[in-house]
Amino acid sequence: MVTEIKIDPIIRIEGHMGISVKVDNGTVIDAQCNSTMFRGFETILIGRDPRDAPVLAQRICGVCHQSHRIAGVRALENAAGVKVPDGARKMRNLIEAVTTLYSHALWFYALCGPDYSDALTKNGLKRLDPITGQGYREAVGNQRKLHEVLSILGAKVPHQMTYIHGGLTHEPSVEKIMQMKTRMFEVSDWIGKTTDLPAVLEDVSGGKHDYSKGYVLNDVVDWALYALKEKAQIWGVGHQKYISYGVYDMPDGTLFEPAGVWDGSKVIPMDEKKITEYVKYSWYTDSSGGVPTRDAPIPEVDTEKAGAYSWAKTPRYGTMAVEGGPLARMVIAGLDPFDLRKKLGGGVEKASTFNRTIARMQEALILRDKIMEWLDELKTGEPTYTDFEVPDEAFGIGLWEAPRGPVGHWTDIKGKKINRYQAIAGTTWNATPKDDMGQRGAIEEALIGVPVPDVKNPINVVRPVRSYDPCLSCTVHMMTPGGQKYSIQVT
Amino acid sequence: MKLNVDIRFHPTIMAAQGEEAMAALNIEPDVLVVEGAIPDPKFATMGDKPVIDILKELAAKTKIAVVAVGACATYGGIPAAKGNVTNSMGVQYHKGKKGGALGADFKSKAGLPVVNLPGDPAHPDHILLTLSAVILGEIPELDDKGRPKLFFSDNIHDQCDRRGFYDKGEFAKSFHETDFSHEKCLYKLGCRGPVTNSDCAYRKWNGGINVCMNGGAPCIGCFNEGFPDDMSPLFETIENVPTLLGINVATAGKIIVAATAAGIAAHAIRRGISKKPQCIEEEK
Repeated sequence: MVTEIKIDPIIRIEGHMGISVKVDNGTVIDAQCNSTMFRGFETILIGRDPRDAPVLAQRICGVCHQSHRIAGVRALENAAGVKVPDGARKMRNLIEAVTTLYSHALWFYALCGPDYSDALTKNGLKRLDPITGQGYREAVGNQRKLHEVLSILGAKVPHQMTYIHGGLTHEPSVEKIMQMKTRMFEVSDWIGKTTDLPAVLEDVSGGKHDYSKGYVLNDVVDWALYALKEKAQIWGVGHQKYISYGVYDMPDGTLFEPAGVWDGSKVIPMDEKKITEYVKYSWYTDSSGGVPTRDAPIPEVDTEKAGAYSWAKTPRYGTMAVEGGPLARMVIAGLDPFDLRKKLGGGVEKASTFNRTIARMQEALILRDKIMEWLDELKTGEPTYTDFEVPDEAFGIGLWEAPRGPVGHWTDIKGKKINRYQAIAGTTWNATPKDDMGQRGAIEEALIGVPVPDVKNPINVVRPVRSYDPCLSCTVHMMTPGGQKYSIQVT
Repeated sequence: MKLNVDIRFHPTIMAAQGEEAMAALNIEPDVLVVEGAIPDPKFATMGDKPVIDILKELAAKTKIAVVAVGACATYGGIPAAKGNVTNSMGVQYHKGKKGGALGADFKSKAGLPVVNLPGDPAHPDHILLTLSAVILGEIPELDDKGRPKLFFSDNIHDQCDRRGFYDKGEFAKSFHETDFSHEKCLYKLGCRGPVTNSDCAYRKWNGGINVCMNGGAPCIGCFNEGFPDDMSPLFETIENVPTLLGINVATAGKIIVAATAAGIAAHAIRRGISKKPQCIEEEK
């Protein structure tokens, strides 16, 4: 007998989301992912000063605010043909890295952890209990320290304010560097040394916890061993294809985590012209969507559309269904520290609830180590700004990575005003409805085959959903105004 | 003193999912905290129910106070800005005007209008202190925009750490000069401190670490009921922003606009702005 389970709202994510699954014989056979909120940021930006767009678009989301600000600023700088000084590059990388570390830690303890905690599953992992768990409490304290570091870099968080067209609004000083390092050392002690991970794995496998080697390392290994027992390495597979726009500018023009597409067997170069949005199952007219270029059709809201079930559109790489996020970035960068995904997760490139979570933690460790290195590279009083003028007519693209997936902004400037603005957020790649070809969204596909032995307790459904770290505020803001016409300009 | 709070519904921290989470809304709350602008029914739903209906039902049952948190819930914020198609508004205000999703006349069972804590984001101290006060039965005195006077009587510009640079006439001409070490005021780069009231300039953010202006970033007026439309374009000096003409800003702001319109030189504007803002005069 087929039972339909609807979970709306999905709790412990950012934004508004519902999931419907059909369960037959204790297994999920179909899934629908609904984004249940629409704000329309892109129409609101039309006609404004292009410099305002990164500041307003940043406010799409209170978690990856920095990613939208950065993507918006990059689009603007791309349009104006501006290259920022090395001092700004270094400070900007730190802003991105600290935010991503913050976001990954917050996700593990506050959003994902509770699903695997003693409070919900009676498995003894009391440190992961929501609100009352010791791990949860320590995480809140350490996130505050990471926010303090970000506040030094960004003037305040959420919505850091210093990342600006042409560079950064302030310069490194001895005082700022020391304030940041002090806090990072404390957070780092809480996490534990990356090189101690194999030892912690051995300890915890033997039933021993040595918390002097780091609380986070112990908790992640605790989580991993329980998740393996619950078969998280075989659920939540999805399309097993990945995309990354690449992130962290290096001095030689390359990206520390490179751009690329994993097509199922190999990494191919990412061509931004293949990024395409489909709208068959979204509340927009059929002519909406397409490639976010200057001559793309104008999307319009259609709330009565038959078959539509989401405010999210469906981005694809050409017609290829791909997912984004830390696992995608790690696969495309060819990174699998300590062979965790290879040895425990069934394969370096394999997608699963387990591998998505482990990749997020692997990335957190890599970034923590990089933050310490990058803080040492800051030079007191180094210039961080270059002159910037709003171009009269131009088109610019800003591609970047939010903690949870690729984020892109496209700005079209005419008469020094925004003529058209488009944004595709990280979660849009994952929490999408079906595309025109009938392929399910990444999260929908990942739910197929998930065992639900008790339809009254569908915890197995929310675990794979949460492994994508969905952030729905970002996903649903896409629209440009109906009826507005403009001619194609190449500058 | 220890304050125990029973949080019955909070979408990012609660354990319950789906139906169980919706069932948790079946309560008569002491305090209802609302985040986000309220759009027309079809643009935001939870458990298949329009958010605006959920808000109206819960607000009618709220015993002590409805507290709107953030620029969007208070005055509509960016979702209510020019060009929106969702007809979003704040809980009891639409920009500076009373009305909003609950209507101008809404009062909680205790007889209170909606308590507004604006900001993009709202300041955590404002949230924590207001909620503590409300739960303990101490109702904060509100200004004419529904905001606690305690936090929103001071003008940001008057309290800014860079105020001395302004008084000396030292203005940053570009972002080359915005690091604090250059000792310049950000007014000419578009700072909205002079037309915005909040205590953020001295309370600061993230445990007293920093604030926008100290980090070299001009204030964007995120606490202002006119944010973002009346503050745009953000990186233009106040006198170049036509929307600021004629809006109800603090006296200081009015003087700037009037003085500019009359073409008076910068030093005269500076003299004008050092007068006390309207809110302090009101309290006399």
